Amino acid sequence: MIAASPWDGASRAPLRVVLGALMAFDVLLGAWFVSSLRPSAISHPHAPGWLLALGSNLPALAVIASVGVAASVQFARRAGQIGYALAAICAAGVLVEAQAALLEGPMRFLFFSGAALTGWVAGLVFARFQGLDARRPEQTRRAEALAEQGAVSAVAACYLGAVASKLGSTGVRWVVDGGLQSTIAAQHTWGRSALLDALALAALEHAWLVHGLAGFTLLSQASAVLLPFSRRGRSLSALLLLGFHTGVWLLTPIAFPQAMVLLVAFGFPWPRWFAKSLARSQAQGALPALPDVAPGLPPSAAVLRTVAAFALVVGLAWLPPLRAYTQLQHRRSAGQSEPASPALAPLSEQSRTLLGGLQVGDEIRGFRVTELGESAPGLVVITLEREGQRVVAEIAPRGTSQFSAPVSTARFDLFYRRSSSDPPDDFPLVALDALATWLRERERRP
Amino acid sequence: MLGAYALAARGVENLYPFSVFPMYSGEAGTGTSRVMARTAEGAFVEVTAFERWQCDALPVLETTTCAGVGGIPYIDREREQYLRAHAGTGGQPIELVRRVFSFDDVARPTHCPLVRCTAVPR
Repeated sequence: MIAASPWDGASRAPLRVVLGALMAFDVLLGAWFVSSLRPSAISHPHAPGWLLALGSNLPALAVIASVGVAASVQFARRAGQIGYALAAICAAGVLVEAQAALLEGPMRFLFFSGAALTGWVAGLVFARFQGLDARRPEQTRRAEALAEQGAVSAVAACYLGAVASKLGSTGVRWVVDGGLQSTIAAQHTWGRSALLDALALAALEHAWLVHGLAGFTLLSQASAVLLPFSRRGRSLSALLLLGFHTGVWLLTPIAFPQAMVLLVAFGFPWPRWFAKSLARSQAQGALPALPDVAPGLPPSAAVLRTVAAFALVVGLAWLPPLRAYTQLQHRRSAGQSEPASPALAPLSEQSRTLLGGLQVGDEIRGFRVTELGESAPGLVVITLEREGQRVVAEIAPRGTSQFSAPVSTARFDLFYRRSSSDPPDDFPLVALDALATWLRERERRP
Repeated sequence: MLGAYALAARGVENLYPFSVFPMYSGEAGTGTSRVMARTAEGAFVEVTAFERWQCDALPVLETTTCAGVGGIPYIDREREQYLRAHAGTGGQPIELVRRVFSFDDVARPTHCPLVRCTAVPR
């Protein structure tokens, strides 16, 4: 069922240490990101309040980071520590999802370590179902061989997901019509290096070059299918993927250092290379590369239990409420639920004072006011337009709405109404942010 | 594990630690643009190469376009945050522009001026 590994014949403890170190690094990085964020117009409109409340909440972040780092260290220290591994994944998950909810979707370079550790845990669970407990020294190597295969499989799934996304979006035409050219143009840091500037310019000016790079991108990512199934195939794919990551990093600032570390650690026969080196100096034989996983099919009961566990996780991942939440990660489209648009009443005296005599036709930070009134007592509705796009915003006294406000000021929660005819971009959130800034300026005045 | 991760990721799209990694999977479009600093000599430079920025009236960068070509919103936001965080006085005249990269044969300007500023090289 499972092919040989470059780590066969050796302890997987170094791999465990690498995974633990990467998780601890991700936890600290995640906490650092969240420590500088606050809920804003681009925050997830349906994010739980406790998740958004982590933004800039240093005591809470310190606790989560401490738990995550401690769990990562404990996982790395001893084999078979499934509980600590899950605690580390949970801590990193909370921080990554808080960042995603606060800012504008998740940073995917933070996913690789968590995916690999999840695979490692799955391998340990599969081993337990076979009666192998990594905590028992005589069973550690065989159990962690399965954990290693789980981790490598999860990393492979990440790259295959990336290539499937590209092919699913535009097919093989991605090589010609894909966004690589656009990515380089929009992301390259000009002026950092004359050589890299020349490379980026060459890629932008010569279509054949960017098509070649795009083809290499697909090839290297698709090669990940070799990672779990072949000793040499794993090394070949790791080389291709490291080349891909290096190229992307040089032509843009986009880096996936955790993925690169995982590829280096898991992709090559380090134990054999070190053993050969030792053998030369000590005149000893190199380690035999015998498979640590018994050939043939594992017990059917273990397979069935593992499949059932996987089915449970996959089933949870397809729950409609969860999908509805995650699909808004990068396409935020909700403020208040879309209500009917009744005729607006004139502004009350209190609202008129609040808005400082604002009238239809006035400008707020580049947005023209085209409609102004109240849909309910104290609930101001204001339509803003800019370059042919419009958004209907609502200003409610803070804390009076049942919905999480995408942006708030000291005294008010701001929402927007969205209709199906709106373009799928961030325009409403930008308008809301401008309105919030204008309101804050007014709130600061005596 | 490979199949389970792939199926779970397809379900949630992006929920730690599962992702389909959909970044950069779309088409290139006709072009893209980015906000850059244009020096008095006409050179295009990253805004981060300068500090102590002072602009006449800094627009909301992500709402600006050049010949109908916009940029990547989060990068525009990062640029604007940088400009606001590195405000100051003095230095040389700089034009904040949106530089355009075209991927089709349509004739477009290479850049559009956004606002006149002054800034000091870092």
